[in-house]
Amino acid sequence: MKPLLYLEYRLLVNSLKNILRSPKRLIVALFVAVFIFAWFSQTMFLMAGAPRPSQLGFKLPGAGLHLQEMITSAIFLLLCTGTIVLLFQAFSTGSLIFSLAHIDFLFPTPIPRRSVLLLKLLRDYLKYILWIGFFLTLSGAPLMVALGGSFYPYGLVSIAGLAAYLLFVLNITHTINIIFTFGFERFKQAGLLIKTILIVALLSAFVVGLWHFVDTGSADFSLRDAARSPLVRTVFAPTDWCTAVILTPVKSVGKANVEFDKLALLVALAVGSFFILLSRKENIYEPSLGISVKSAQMRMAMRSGDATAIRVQALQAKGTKSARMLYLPPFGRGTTALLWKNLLVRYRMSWGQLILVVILPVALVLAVQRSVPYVQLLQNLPYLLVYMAFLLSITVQPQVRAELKHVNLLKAMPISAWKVVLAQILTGTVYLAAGILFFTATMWIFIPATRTALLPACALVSVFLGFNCVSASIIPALLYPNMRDQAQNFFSQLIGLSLIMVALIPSVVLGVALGVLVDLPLYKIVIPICAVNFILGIASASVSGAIFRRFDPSGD
Amino acid sequence: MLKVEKLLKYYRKTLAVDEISFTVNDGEIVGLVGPNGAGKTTILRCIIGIVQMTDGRVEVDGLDLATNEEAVKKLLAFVPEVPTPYEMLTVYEHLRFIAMAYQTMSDFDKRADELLRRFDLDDKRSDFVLSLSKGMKQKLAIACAFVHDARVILLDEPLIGIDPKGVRELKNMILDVKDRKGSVLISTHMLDTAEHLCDRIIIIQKGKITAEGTIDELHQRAQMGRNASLEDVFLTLVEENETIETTTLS
Repeated sequence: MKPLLYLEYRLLVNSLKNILRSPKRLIVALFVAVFIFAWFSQTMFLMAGAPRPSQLGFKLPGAGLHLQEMITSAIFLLLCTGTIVLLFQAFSTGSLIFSLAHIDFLFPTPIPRRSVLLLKLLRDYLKYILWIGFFLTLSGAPLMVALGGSFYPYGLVSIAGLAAYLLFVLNITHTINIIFTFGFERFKQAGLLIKTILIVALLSAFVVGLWHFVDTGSADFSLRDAARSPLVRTVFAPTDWCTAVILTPVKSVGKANVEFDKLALLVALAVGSFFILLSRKENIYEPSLGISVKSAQMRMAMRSGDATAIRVQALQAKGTKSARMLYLPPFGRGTTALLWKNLLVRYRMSWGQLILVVILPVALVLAVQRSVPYVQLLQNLPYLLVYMAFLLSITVQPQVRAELKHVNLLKAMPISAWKVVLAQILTGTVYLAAGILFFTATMWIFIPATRTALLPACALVSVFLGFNCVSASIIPALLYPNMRDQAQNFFSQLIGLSLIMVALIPSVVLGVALGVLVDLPLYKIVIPICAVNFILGIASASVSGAIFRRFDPSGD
Repeated sequence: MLKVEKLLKYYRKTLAVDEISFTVNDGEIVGLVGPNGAGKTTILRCIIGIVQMTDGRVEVDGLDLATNEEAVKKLLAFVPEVPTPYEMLTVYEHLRFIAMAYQTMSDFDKRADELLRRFDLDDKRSDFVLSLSKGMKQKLAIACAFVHDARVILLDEPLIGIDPKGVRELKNMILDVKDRKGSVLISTHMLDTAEHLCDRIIIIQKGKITAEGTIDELHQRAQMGRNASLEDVFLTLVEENETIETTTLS
């Protein structure tokens, strides 16, 4: 155990040193620390001002009981679903995740496997308990103040209950995973039985809920009855106890009826399952190999905010080997070929997002059309396109930074630096323009009030504005290209957002000046705004091209 | 001495290693060669205890891995393919942790100094591992394997990514192990290195041993002259085996 403690100690101390040594990392850490401190102070003030449990009841006494039942049912079903997902995962990949360094350097050492597992579990437990404490306090404190009560002291019971339940479920999933990794064939029938029971139990809740909904037409009472289904309550008895314990602060306002018996049962289950897991004789290293490698790759991608890498990981996990949807052949030469490649990769990588871009405008437009009766308000809806251009331009930066991973290939190509950058900008702009045009068409079709000259004018301005914003946001992407560095990610996003805001200013000034002050016709406002955005976009592209020309792939 | 008997490994339903047996004697260097996905890394991982054998037996100096895992691991050292060391440790701390894990702290400082000097890492001893290049990380992994007096050294593609001086040092250290009657098992694709460094070669294909023996014995087996390189011999034997398998299946 001594070497493991030495390892943990050094890793902790060095991580702190690493933050303190670098101003870039220190600033980010301070930002996070200030945010957490502000949140913590706010929570404390909230709790200090809140009435004590024994002093006041709910502010909504009539609705209190009904609300409690709805919250109880929702939490119970949510926990059941989460538990099923974790248990199903246990039969395949599992969730006992070690670092790659552990696999390469710790696993081969003669340190007993049980010690490695023990330390790993204790570390995980601490992490989960802290997270649970953080999130329950974060959500529970304001909620309880809104209800007229206080999250603490009974919130501690909630935290203990949820933590005990989570540890119990995780211990069970780890144990199942170890057993099924080595006894895959032997326990096949047992595995099938467990999965069937879990699914049938959850299905029974669904069926009961649906039956009540058809019978009564009441969605909230159907949810309550679904959660009261006897089969799901029996199979998920510990989940039921956990739900009761989590809601202790809500139920104990004015009467301290804490369900210590259920909390004790949950703690006993967590402790018991912990010892069962620790007593397994199988090689716990093997089940964790595959999931640890995948998890490390995914974690790296997520930390860096690299959407492409995340998508690649997801595709690899699914075993995707060929292009999906429509096959598109190679096209163009030089810069055109690069642009075509970028468009194709973006299409293949994020077609799910693209579908979302298609569905969301339709849903939004239909919702607006049904719920907003004011024609004047609807006539001004095209201004939403400008906001959409702003939003979509923010999403381009991570794509460009992801592309910089292949900078060795890009720089080796016989294409000048500014053309490479232009191809990146145009890739973002093409998708942005497609999104805007689709939104425009949707408005035109579904909301007759928008069928004025303002709609095509806003669409045109938005495309040019998008080009300008995308160009501006790429500059920090080239200055801070290392996606593995949290500090660089932070600065890149912050400066990118600031530059986009700056890029918007000329359009706003021109729009106000020409449209409101001089009162010019629409087309005379649109043309200069488009021209200015185009010029600014090209200027930003030139700056980016100059940075890219001097870009050193070996450095950060 | 390392003795592997009827090692069988299934990953759930997939057969990775099919009842292979071999021995690496004291003072012997054995090369494990084979195409990608042949099962070489799985064999090494089974021997080192990262992966559990489905069946079979691994013995090191007469000790059974299944019953004396910790004692056997003390006698082994392992260099993984593309190692990922602890990034937030310094080079020196990394070596120290490994030495602590193997309980060989008595002359650690002296040994660490020598290893760092031999692999040109002495000026990096206080640097975090995250600042090292790929090649340096590989050298650190090799240094970690030699920080204790292992009886059997297992190396998985150890020469990839390290500079010529590092390669020479590693070869010298492998020969030192041989001189002190240790055993070395190297999994590699670099056939010229295997040819010059190894006393015996084991060719693995689809989890089975296709051929085994000294370079001369493999030449004879492939019915090739002495001038033929190990690469020629390897490709001939692998192709021959594939032809036999295809014929048997059809």
